[in-house]
Amino acid sequence: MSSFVRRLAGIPWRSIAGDALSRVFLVAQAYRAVHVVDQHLCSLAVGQGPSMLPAMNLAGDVVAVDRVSVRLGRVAPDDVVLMISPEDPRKSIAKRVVGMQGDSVTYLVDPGNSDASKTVVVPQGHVWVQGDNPYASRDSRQFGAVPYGLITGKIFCREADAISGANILLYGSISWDTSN
Amino acid sequence: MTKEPRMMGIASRRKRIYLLLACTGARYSWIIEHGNLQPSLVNSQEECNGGCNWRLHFRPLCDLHFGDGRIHVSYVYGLQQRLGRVLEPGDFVLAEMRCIEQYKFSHGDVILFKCPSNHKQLFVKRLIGLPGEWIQVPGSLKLTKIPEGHCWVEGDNSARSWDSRAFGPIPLGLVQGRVTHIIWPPSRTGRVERKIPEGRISPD
Repeated sequence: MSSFVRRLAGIPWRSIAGDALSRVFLVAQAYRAVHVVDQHLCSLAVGQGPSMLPAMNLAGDVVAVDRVSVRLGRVAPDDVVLMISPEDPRKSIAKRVVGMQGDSVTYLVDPGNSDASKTVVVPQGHVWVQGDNPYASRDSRQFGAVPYGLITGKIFCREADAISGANILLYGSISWDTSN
Repeated sequence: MTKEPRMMGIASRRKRIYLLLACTGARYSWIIEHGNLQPSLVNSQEECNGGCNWRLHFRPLCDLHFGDGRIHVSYVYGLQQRLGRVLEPGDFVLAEMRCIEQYKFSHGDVILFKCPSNHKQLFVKRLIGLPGEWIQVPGSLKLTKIPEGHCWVEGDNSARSWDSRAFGPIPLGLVQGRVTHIIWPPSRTGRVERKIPEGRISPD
């Protein structure tokens, strides 16, 4: 029994603990660095859905999302943006910006069935977003102008058919969107 | 005899902890405007679009991450008292952001959210109505249904509060956190309680 205790006492616990702690910190710092870049600089996202055809595929487009320009307020008409859906905050949607605050936007109310159009003025602090595919898109025509604060990123790069398995970075921060 | 490599000492380990916390990022400026509140009021009047004279500003002090949960420390400044005695200008409050992961809120929570007409401003108000509920707009007999994904917020100091009665229900995506405690000044340190509003909402 005492030889076991003696062996136990002989193990360099302090240096093992110190070693383990410093490795844990390294991993934690690496994770934090990746997380900060993902949330505040640039991110990847996967899109699916028909509302942005032909610009984005029905399924399997990996897009790069720029978060810095949104924070600096550099979003302009014709940008495709990623934003939190005003109808369900757990979903992200990708749409194209058609009008900024103060702009007057004319849109087709129901393009599949009639030619009726409406004109609205976008309120202060809001943007008007529409999907490229007006026949299959829920956007500002249904839920109205969207506050700028809901925009989380600007999509600037697209890699089509990227979901083939191995070529996606698996750091666990890719968000699944529905572009409906 | 070779010397054993030095173990990481306590001091450097502490430094690494601080570095870890600090590099989680201050999302917003760390500079708090002390003293004279007049300049911030002037700014708000210029940015504010018609109809509002007073509002409460919030400048987040820093954004600390602990594991997956997040805590937000914010400084309350501004001329308007949003919540009578509950929050005063000059308070430091702690806001937790776990509630954002699932967007699960309760009636009477005090929440932080981005102003719908100016995304750079944060407001703090009390959550009165959740999505799908009918709310009676004060001052009129109308019942408004809160759309899916939106909520109704009001300040406790209803006479001087710029809230959903002015800009309508806000999307839940604008909510940035839930205020749980006041951490400064020490005389008012403590939990910020949920106060469930009575007779304002009906579920259907």
